[in-house]
Amino acid sequence: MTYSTLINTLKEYFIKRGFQILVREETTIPQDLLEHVDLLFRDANNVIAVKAVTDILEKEQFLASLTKATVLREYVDKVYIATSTKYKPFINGRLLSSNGVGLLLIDEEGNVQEAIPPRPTTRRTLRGIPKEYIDELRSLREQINELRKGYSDLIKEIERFREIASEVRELHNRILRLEQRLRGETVSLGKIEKVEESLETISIPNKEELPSYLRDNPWLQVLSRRGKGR
Amino acid sequence: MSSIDAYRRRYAYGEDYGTSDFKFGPITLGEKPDIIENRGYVPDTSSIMYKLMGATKKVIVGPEIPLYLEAREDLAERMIYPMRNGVIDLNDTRAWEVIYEITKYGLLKYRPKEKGFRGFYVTAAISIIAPRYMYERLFEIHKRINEEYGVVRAVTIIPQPLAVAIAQKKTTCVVLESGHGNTQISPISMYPIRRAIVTLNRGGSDANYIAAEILRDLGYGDLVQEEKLVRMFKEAVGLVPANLDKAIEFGKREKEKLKIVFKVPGTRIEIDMEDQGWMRFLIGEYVFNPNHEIYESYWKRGMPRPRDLKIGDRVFYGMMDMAEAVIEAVQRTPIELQPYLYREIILSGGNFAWKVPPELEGIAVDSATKMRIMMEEKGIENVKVSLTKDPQYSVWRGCIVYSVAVPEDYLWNWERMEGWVILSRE
Repeated sequence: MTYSTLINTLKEYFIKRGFQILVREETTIPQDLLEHVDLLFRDANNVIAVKAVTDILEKEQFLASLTKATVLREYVDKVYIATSTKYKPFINGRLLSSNGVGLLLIDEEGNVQEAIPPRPTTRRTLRGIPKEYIDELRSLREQINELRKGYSDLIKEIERFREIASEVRELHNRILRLEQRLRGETVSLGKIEKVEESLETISIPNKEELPSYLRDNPWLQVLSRRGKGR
Repeated sequence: MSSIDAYRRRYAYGEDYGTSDFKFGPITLGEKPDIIENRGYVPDTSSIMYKLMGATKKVIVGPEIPLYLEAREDLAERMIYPMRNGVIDLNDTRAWEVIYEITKYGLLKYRPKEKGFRGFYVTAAISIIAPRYMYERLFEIHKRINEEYGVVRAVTIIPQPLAVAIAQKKTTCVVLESGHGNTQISPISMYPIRRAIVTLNRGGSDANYIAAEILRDLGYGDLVQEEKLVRMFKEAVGLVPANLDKAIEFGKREKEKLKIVFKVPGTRIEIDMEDQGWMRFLIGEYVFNPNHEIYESYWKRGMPRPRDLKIGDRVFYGMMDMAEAVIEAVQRTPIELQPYLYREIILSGGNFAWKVPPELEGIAVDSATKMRIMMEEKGIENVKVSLTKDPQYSVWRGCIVYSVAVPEDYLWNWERMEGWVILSRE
């Protein structure tokens, strides 16, 4: 049985049972031990490691795999060794059970049998949370609070700049309007009253002040007639 | 001569509740609205992060969302996309809470400080198939925000296709709006002609299904669970054929011209279509017409077939081709109007954005050309089809024009579904 067949069969087996595949970076397993892990899964809060063994030529080889798997129990909740059914004679079941390591056997048809269930480790309860982690968490919390405050100040500053920008834009538009009015009109005293009136509305011909979608848009006429007879 | 009210020239405000994004802002933003994702995150109030952040909000929206995200497993459950299908259930309180928060977020973000400000004239755009209770809820939300913050002087709600027609400056036209889950065909002549609307139960997600099947055929079955990846693949390789049979024949003969290797951004994954480049045409064709016999084999192996669906008194057609749907809609309008409607068909929405590689011109076409070809095949001539310019912004722009132009004394009426709801008379 090839390595990839073995791996794919195992993936399918665990995923069907609702396990989630983990990548190595998501665990606390030290780098030098990672090479002894072929697959990692999560089942609720439990992390499960699987060592796939493609061929066992002699019993010592099996013992070597078992030793590495036993060390892994320090870092995960359950450990399995998975191999082809045909290597069953090389495997010492009692040794696996006594070390708490599970055994998965895969036959040529791709059926997976849990020959020996693993014994869950007690790593979490025994270890507790080291003090340095708690200190680190506290320091992180303070940093987050500072960042939050900084972020909120920043947002306020940005809001203030936005308001200023909006006012500048508005003033700019007003100046443009005044410039055009000055350029286009011969001001006579008689017109002063009318100018004041027209401040209430802005007529469409000042096209360059309007966004493109408002310029020459026939809907302005259509919509302004709403309610005045269809 | 028409004139624009000076107050509304400054305080017209638009809101486009899209399936993915919420586009909003006042007229003073100019050509482009502000955009946030149309989603809200409901944080786990018992989580360490929530307590650390000292948060008090029930729903987080806008750019703050990433600050509150917790475990990945939680995301699907706690991240709410209220408008995924254009319609929100009446009793989906969490979705309505998200709508309240994003609406408030926008209005407060642009609340002016000037003394003369007496509230915005807000035009909100929603799906044309939205039921009456969605209008009622949206009015309630704006009323509540105005009571709390005094930022809305008047509010109205219009269907998104009408907003598209307004932004495109076409008063008589047919708007095809194709979104994630469905496609709405809306004839418009000064008003949306509601009785003529035809809806297809087919949208961008169906093109994703066929793209996923093609990925499976190419041997990348393990990637199809990643919806985003499938969508990127579809957008990168999908082509709309002028004629599917001829395009497949061309693709099998001129394999080199259709070769493509899709590299998944940010990863080392490369999807090489090798000699199967002809399949690229299946993706685009499916959007316009899923009736070709070649799709049978995909349905047989389990791909969901677009089905007719009845929601309320409206039928969403699954298999009707796009040209047939336009003809069906136009035929429900007065006969003298029909030629004018065929002369202005507007395609709007991301589902019409298909590229044409220069070396495949003539074999692959853009959406407008495809529609024209399909309409001509059905004997409809003198058809003019256009794609919206800046499709992302056109609904918001239509809302702004509406806010600016509709007279203040034109009050909301449930029969004609138009007019202002005045919230503040100061």
